[in-house]
Amino acid sequence: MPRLSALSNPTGLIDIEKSRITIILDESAKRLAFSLARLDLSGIEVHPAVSVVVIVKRGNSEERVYLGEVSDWNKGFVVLSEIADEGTWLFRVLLVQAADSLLVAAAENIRPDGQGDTTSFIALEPAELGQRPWEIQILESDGRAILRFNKDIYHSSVEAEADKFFTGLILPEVVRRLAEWLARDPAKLSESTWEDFKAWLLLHGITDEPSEDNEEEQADWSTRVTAAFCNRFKIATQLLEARKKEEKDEDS
Amino acid sequence: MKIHKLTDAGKKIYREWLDRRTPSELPPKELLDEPSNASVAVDVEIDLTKIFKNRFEFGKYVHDLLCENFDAKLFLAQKNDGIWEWLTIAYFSQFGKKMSKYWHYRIERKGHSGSLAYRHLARTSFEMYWRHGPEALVMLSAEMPTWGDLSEQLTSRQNVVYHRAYIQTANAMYMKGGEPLTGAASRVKPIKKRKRGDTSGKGGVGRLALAVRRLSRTYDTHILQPSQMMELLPREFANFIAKASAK
Repeated sequence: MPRLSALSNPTGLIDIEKSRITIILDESAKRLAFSLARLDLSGIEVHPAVSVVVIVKRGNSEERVYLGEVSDWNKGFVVLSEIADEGTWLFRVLLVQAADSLLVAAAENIRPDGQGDTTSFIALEPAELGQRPWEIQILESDGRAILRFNKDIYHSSVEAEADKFFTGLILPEVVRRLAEWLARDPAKLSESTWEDFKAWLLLHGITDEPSEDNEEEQADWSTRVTAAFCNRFKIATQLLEARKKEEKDEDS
Repeated sequence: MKIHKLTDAGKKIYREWLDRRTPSELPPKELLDEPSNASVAVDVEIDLTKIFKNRFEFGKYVHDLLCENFDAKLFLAQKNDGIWEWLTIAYFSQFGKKMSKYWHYRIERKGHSGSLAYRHLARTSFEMYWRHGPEALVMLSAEMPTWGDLSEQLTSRQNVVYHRAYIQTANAMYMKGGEPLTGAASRVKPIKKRKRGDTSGKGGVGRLALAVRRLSRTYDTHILQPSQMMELLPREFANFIAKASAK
């Protein structure tokens, strides 16, 4: 095979911009799955019969998934059987010519949007809060909330996240407040900035939206959102286990 | 005996024993079934008298036992590290014939440059057989106590170790009659130490990893058959490809 130059692009590979792709993760306790929810190829000429292939990478592991032809690729959740349980997720989305496995177009190093966890719309940030342990800020224009924690208690977000008591007791409340805030003006959910949160809701089985003028419905919706979050991450079980561990450590 | 896993107390005793063991010494017998040291992990019987020709045979045997009714991933989770240490103890007369580094006998997840779990003789034999089936022979053909440079080069490059077509091609290119070809594991010398015209290490398994990584920018390499992959490889692999074709 003749030497290929990294600069000359002799095969005419098309670079797909990351912004054209939305990948949603499902990291529930029972399975690891992803969905290629959006692949916007407007303005890019590709044959409708080329294959969509996703290479999923996590930590040291890698799994190849075939999603069908580009004209009608599988947008549903695909369960990953070989991927590691730990590590950073990265995706390659490839459009492949079936006859000779040649790549027609590719998007590299895609990070999942609207993850099955909350990191895409709840950020953690250390802050000077005096005696207050935490507070929540909702950034409407960014479509996310920031959980600001007292930096005298935890020096970094990694440290805060590692404390099961902190995350178990505080995060459900953050989710509830965010849900209440959105429930008061459900039209926001149609705005593109809140796409991640909406994808997260769908993943958790919340497909409806509360009425604008029904406070009872809004409260019920917020409670269901919070419950879905707690169920998925088994918050009470996690707290119980953390407590048992602490008691065991104290005894020993 | 049913397959067990070491308890925390069992792990402690085993690790202390590993640190002070002498050649041909076997681990304390009570590590195998003393309730404080080991508990039943799965309701699967294992033949502890079995002798294995190489780690491929061992990986296949354990894989076939465990994966008939269970998901392999379950056994690779950190919480089940005790199973692999128990299996190492159970077959220590075969795994422990040499005085190799501790990470081959116990699972070490923290090393100076990442996890060293891949160097565990028993666990990696199982995992590689699970992932690659018969093609795992290329990395597991060494005898039970031997890790080997081919294993190291194939399993330490973690961006390719799970790449099925890479392992299939390596198995097709570097193995003959169940044994690795001479030079398969050779490494290219650093430029400063390399004399003009010295091609040693070229076309070896380490270079194949690099070549596959480059090819994956242009091809969907995961589904290429070994013959297709060989056609796309650069000239430095010609010798090994010729030997593979002559098989």
